[in-house]
Amino acid sequence: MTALPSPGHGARPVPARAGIGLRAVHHDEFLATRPGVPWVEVHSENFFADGGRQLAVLDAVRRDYGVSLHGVGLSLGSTDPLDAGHLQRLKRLVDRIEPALVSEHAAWGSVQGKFFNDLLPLPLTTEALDHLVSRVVEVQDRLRRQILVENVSSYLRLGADEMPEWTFMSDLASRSGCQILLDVNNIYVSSRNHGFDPLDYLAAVPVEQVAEMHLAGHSVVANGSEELLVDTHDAPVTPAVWALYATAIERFGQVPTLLEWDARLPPLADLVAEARKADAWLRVPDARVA
Amino acid sequence: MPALRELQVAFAAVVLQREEPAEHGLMLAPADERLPRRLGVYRVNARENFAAALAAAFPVLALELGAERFRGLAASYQREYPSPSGHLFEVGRRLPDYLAAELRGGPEEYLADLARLEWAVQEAMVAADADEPFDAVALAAVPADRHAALQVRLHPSVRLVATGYPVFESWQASQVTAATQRRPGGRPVPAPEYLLVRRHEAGIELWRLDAATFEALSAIAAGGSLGDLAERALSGSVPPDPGAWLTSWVARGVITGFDASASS
Repeated sequence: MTALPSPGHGARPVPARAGIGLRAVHHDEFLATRPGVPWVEVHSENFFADGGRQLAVLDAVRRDYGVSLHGVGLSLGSTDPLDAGHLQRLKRLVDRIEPALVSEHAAWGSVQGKFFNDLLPLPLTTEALDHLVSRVVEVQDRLRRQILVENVSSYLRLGADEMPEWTFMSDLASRSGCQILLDVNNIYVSSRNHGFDPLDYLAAVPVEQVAEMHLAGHSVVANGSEELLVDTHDAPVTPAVWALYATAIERFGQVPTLLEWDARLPPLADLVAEARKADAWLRVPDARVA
Repeated sequence: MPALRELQVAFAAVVLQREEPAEHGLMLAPADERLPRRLGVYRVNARENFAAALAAAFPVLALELGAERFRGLAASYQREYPSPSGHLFEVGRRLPDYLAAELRGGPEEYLADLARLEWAVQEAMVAADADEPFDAVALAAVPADRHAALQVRLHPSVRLVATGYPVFESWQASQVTAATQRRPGGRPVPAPEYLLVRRHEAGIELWRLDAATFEALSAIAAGGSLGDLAERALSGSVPPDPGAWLTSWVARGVITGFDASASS
């Protein structure tokens, strides 16, 4: 494994506090009010432009806030070749913004050139793990930096799994040199959908592999006696996920945590208030629980 | 168990073409009555994410068609042209041509022109910024005998759109009235329209041009020199007095640079 340069040189750091996902609908208000969050995460693809207002906003934000670039479209686990154009645009954005963190997903989203624009689960097999390791190494070599890879929510399993997801993620990190973006809500959603104990997940992931955590809301779709949890990012974090997050902090310590909210977005102030709740769990001294 | 490649190809057919997992030998879990609903999450996501990206890129078209018809259009377009990229922006790139082929000769043919204009707007929004303001001092320093070979540059966001139907009014109206309060425009009578789209600091600007101006700006966009422009002016195919004409477009921020290298 090639030693990778430490990320974020020249950029503002992402501290072990709660940040928010910054979405276009909040751009103007964010710049006008400069809310007291230490860092923000944005979807990388939304800033693939050659110029224009979106990029100008991010240029302004990065001057005062730590920034994390979170990709949703690289289709890391696809068996198609990596999209060279996509990767080139990501590299250009990384070079421009110098983010403290760059992340993607342990998922696939395309095959034979057709994209789902969704995060599809990989089978938890040695073949899929080998493939994902090679892809993460390829991306890190191209970006010349370490990336974080996030566990995704899933609703079904593609074939017979050969290992639990926590082993898959942990082996991915140890073999590729990436770190894990541990999405606590995704662990909870998948645990309910597939019937595993989320505490087993937290207990099995090595502490040093986790560099960021995600929190988000989900939806519960009931059908008779079965409840299906769907990762919708359109609601406050549920009490059960907060409880799991508390356990995660006990294990992993203070880790930068992002409050994700992508649909039915609340006012910016409410989003910041929700992030402050995470700060309270992180025991940030000046955090106020809303 | 199928190899990862075969598994992904099969799952794509199940989600995007809505085929049955058993047809492809896919063993998905849970393999019971819960599976259809779980599969449904991925099918709905693939459809809705595509449709939402399309609606965001073509808001005026969506208004003209109404929500239900626009969703139908998104579904049929997706079957013909599935998303080609992990960058959702790319979803809409082929919609104007798709609509033109689908609607050719019909009463809603004008919608293809509207889609072309909206895609030009999308491109303008993400185009590069101008390197720097137009340098009139440097231009004045170019010897007069080299002016004919000089090439001027349009702002990178400028898009020139010639349509067979008037769509300017429809687009302009959508910018000043909330979509939910605006009534769709009627079906226009065929008539050519020449449009210029440009991004500036406050947003997108749209101009309606005369044919000569459109041709002249198109010539500049294609790399034509000032000499070419002067010849066209003599033949009457572009506006007379190219100097004054150029100055006016520099003032409006449409012409933002020049390249004197061909003349040196």
